[in-house]
Amino acid sequence: MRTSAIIHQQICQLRWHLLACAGLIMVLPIEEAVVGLWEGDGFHSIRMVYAVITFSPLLAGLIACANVQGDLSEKRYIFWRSKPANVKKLMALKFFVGLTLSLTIVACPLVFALVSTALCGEDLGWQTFKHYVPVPIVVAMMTYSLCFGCNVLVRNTARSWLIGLFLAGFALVIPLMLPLGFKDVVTDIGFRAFGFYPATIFVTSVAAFVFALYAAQHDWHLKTNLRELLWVGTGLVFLLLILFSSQVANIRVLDEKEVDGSRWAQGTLDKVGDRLIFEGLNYVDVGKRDISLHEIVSNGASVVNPPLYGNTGMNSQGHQVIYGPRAKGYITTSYPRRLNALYMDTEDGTYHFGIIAYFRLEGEGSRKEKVHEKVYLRSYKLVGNSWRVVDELNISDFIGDRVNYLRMAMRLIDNTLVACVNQSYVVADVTDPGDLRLIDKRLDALKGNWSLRHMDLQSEFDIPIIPVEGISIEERIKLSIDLRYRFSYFRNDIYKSSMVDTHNGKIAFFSVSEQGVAWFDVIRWDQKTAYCKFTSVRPFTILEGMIWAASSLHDRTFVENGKLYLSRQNTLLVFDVRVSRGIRKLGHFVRMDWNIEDIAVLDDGNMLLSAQWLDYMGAGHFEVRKRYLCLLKNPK
Amino acid sequence: MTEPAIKIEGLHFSYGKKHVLKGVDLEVPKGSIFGFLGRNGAGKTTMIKTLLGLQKPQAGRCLVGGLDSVTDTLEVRRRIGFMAEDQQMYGWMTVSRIIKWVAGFYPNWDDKFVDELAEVLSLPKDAKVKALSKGQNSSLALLLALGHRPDIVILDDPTLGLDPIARKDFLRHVIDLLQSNGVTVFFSSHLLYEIEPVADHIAILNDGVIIKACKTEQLRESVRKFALTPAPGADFSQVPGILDALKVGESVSIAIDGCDPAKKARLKEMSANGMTETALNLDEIFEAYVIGNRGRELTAH
Amino acid sequence: MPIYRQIIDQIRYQVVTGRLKEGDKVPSVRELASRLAVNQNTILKVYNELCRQNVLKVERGDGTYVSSSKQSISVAERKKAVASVLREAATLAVQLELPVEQAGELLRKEYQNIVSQKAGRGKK
Repeated sequence: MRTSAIIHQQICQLRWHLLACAGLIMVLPIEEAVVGLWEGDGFHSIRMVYAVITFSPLLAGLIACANVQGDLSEKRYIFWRSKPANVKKLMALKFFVGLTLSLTIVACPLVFALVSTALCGEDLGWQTFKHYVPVPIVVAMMTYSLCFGCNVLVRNTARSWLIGLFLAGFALVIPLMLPLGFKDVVTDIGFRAFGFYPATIFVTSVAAFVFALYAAQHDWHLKTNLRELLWVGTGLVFLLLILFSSQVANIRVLDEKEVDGSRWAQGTLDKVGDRLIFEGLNYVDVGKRDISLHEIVSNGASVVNPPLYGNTGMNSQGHQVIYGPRAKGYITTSYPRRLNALYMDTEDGTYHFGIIAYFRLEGEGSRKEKVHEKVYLRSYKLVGNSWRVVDELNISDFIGDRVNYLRMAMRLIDNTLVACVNQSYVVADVTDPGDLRLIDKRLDALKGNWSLRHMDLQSEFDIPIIPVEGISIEERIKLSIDLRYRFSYFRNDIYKSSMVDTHNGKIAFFSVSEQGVAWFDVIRWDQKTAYCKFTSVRPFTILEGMIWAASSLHDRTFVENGKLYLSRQNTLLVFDVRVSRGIRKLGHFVRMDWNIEDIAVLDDGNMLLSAQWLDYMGAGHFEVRKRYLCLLKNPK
Repeated sequence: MTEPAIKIEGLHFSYGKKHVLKGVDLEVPKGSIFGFLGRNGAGKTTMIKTLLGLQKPQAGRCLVGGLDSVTDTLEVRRRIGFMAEDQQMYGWMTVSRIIKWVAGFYPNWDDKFVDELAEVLSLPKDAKVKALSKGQNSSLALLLALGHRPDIVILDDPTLGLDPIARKDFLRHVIDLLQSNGVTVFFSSHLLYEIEPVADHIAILNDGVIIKACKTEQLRESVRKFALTPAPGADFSQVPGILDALKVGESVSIAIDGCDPAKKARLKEMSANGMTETALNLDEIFEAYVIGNRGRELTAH
Repeated sequence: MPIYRQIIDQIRYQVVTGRLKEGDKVPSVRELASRLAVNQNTILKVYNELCRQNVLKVERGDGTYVSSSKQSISVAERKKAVASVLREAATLAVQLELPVEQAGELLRKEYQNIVSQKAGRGKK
C-alpha cells in the first residue's frame, strides 16, 4: 500500500469540502478583523474565533462524512475492495488523514487569532484561550469519529452527518441522564463529575473508530431512508425525554399552593403534636390531594410575630415591631434559623427554644464583616399573640475565636436540651421551660471535628461519645455523630432530623457529599466510644451530582420510615434505605427556580414541601417574592 | 490434469433469509477462458464477490490458485486481476494518477507492461477518468486489473453497457492480452452469444446452482429439439435430460440435453408418427436451460 | 452452427472461390483469433481440421499455407455442405406446409438470381 498515494487521494477527494469548511470557519473572524481595521482598531479577531470554534464539531463531522463517502458508493467500493488492500489499515489511514485535515481546518481561525493579535499587539487573553479552545476541539474529534463510523455504515454524507451529530450530542448528554452513571459502574467515589467527559469522549471516539474499521472490513451496510431515520430519531428523543424525566421529575405533584412570600418569615414546616405548622403562623391541613392553611389563633388573635430578631411584638398601630438590642447598633441572628423549630407543649403553654446571637458589622463599605459578641440560649413562651423570653442562658463564651461565623445546633431529647455553638455545647434540663437549668457545659469539647468523607475513611473507625448525662446511650451516639461530623461538614445546621437512623436495631447513618450518599453502620459501642463501619455508597449520577454541586445553600437530610430524604436548593431526592446494605433511588424532584426550604413527611406517606421563589433584584441580591407549598406523592 | 485455477466446492451464500447460492461446484482449468453465464440476478456477482473473499460463504469454499479466498484473502487478491461489473473509478483522478494509486496496492506492479497496455488500449494518460468514454472506461478497468500480471483474471460482466463495436474490441483484447499470455480468464456474462466465441468452457448458473457446465462446442451439439406427436401412454418422464417441453395442440416440442442415440430412440418409441429433429440457436439453448420447465407440463397430464 | 464450423466453412469458401490461392499464407492462430475475437483454441481446431482435409498445410516453423485449390473438395462433400443448409429451409417449408414443388421452385429462383447477379458484376 502506498501511503503517499492514499494521502494524495484523500486530499483531492476532500478538496471542495475542505475549501468550503475553511471558508465557513474563516468568514466570521476575517469579517471581524476587517471591521476592526475599518474602525481603526487593527486587523485582528478573537471573539468570532471563539464563536466559530464552538461550531467546529459540525465541520469536523462534515469532513468525516465526506472523507470516505467517495470510496463507499457501491460500485467504487468493489473497485478498491477487490485490490489486495488491507481494509483496516486503509480505512485507518484515511481516518487519520481526514482527522488531520479537519484539525487543520479548525486550527485556521486559531492560528489567525494568535497571529493577528500578536501582530497588532493586542491581548489574546491567553487564559481564556487556553481553557476554552481544547473543549470544542476534543468534541470535534469525537464528532469526527462518530460521523466517520456512521458514514461507513450508512454511506450517505448528509444522513450520516445528521446521525453522527445526533450520536455526538447523545454521547455528551446521556451520562447526565442514565440512572447508571459511570461511577455506579466503577464505584469510585473519588471520580470527579467532570472527569467523566474526557472518558466518554475518548471511549466514544475509539469505539466509533474501531467500529468503522470493522464495518468497512465486513461490508456492513445500513440502508436508510429519511423517513425511517426521522422515526428512529423521534423515538430516541422520546427515550431521552423519558430518561430525563425519570431522572429529574418523577415525583408526582398532587397539589401546589402559592403563598404570599413577602411576609417576614421562613418556610418552615414543623410538627407540633399531630398538627403541621407552616412558618410558625399557620396550621396546614392536608387532604388526599389538596392543601389548606389556617391561621394559628392564640387568645383570639393570630400569631404574627416569630421571634426572628430578638423579641417582637405589636405596637399601638398594630404593626409588627422588634424589641431588642438592634436599637443599640446590633443585628441579631437566631438559631434555629427556622422558626419555632424546637417546640414544647406543656400544660401551662407552648414554649420554644432558640439560640440568639448578636453581632456588629465592622469594616468599610461592602467589605463589612460580622463580629459576634453575644450568644444566648433562650426559651420563649407564647403569650397572647407573641413570643416572650422567659429564661435565658448566656453562652457568649462559646464564640471563641470564630467570631464571624457561628455554627449552631440544638437537640431536644425528652426534657434535656443540648445546644451547641461552634465546638462547645451546653446541656440544660427543660422540664420547666420557663426555668432553664444548666446540667453541663463544655467548652471546646468537640475539637478535632472531622468531616465524614467516606472516600477518605477506613472501612472501620470510631467516634468518641460525648458525655451528656441523663439521656440514653443511643441518643448520645446519635448526638455525637451529628455533632462530630455533620457540624463541620457543609453548612448543616442540625436540628429536628438527623441523618442518624436506627435501622433494624442498629444505628445506621448517612452522609451526603457532592459525589454521593454513603451508608455507615455503628457496629458496637461502649460508654465512651462508638465503633463505626463504612458499609456502602450510592454514587450520584452526573446529573444528580451536578445539581448537588451547583447549589450552595444548605441542605436537609433526614431518614424517616426507611427512606432517606435529601434536599438542596431546587432538588429533592428520595432513597430507599430499607434494602439490605444498599441505597436505591426512588424519586427525584426538581424545580429550577425554587429554593426548597423544608420538607415534612405526612402520616399518609405523602410529602409536603415548602419552597421560596427568589426574584433577582440585581447586584447579587435576591428577594423572596413567593412561597410555595407543594404536596408530593412519596415514591415507592 | 493439473490443479484447476479456480475450484469452488459446495458454495452456499445467503443475504439474511434470501439464499443466493445454493451449493455451487465449479472447476476452472488453468489457462482456459471460462464463460460464466447467468441471467441478471442469478447470483453471478455474489459468487464472484465470494470468490474474491469480499464476503464469507455460509458453507463451502473457494480455492483460487490453491489458496482459500477466505483465509488468504489478500494473497488471493494479489494473484488475481478483477474487473467489476459496470466498474466505477474515481472520476476526478487522471488516468495516470489512478494507475499510480492502484499500483500502490501491488508489490509486483509492472510499470513497463502497463505503459505498453495503455498504448495498446489507446488510453489517453492525462485525461480525467470521468471524461473517458464507456469503452475507454472498461479498457482502463481492464488495464488496472492486469497491471500486476495476474495469472487469473476475473471479469464480471465486463461488456455490460458497451456498444457492439466496443464489445468486440474488448473481447479482442481479452484474446490478445490474456489468452495469448496463458492467463486463466473467468468471464461472467448474461449473453451466451457474446461468450461463445471466446470461451473454452461454459457454465450456466441459475437460481443459485450450476445447471450446466461443459466445453463450449459441446453445448450446441448436446441440445436438440424434437417435434413429435406423442403415442398414447407415452411417459416422457422416463427420458432423462428434458430441458423444456411445450405442447402445441396435438404435437409436443421437446428440448433435450445430452442428446445421444439412446435418448433419441426412446423418444421415437413414444412418438405416434415419427419426429423431426432441429438444432437450437444459442439464445434458445440458453432459454431452454434457464427457463425450461423440465417437462413438467407433460407430466402434469 | 458452432463457431469453428462457421470459420471452417468460411475459409473453405474463400479457397473454393479462389480468394485464397494455393501457397498463400493464412494468418497465424493468434492473429486470426484476435482479428475475429474468437478463442485461439477454436482457431487451432479449425486449422487442424482444415489440415486434416488437406485444405491447409503447416510448414514447420514458418506458418500455415493453403495447400490446395477447390478441387480438393469432393463433390460429395460439397453436396453435404449444401444439404446441411437446405435442411433448415426444408424444415421451415414442412412446418409452413409448402408443397415440395413450390419449395424446389424457390430454390431454383434464388440460385438463378445469384448466378445472374454474379454475371452482371463480372461485366462491370
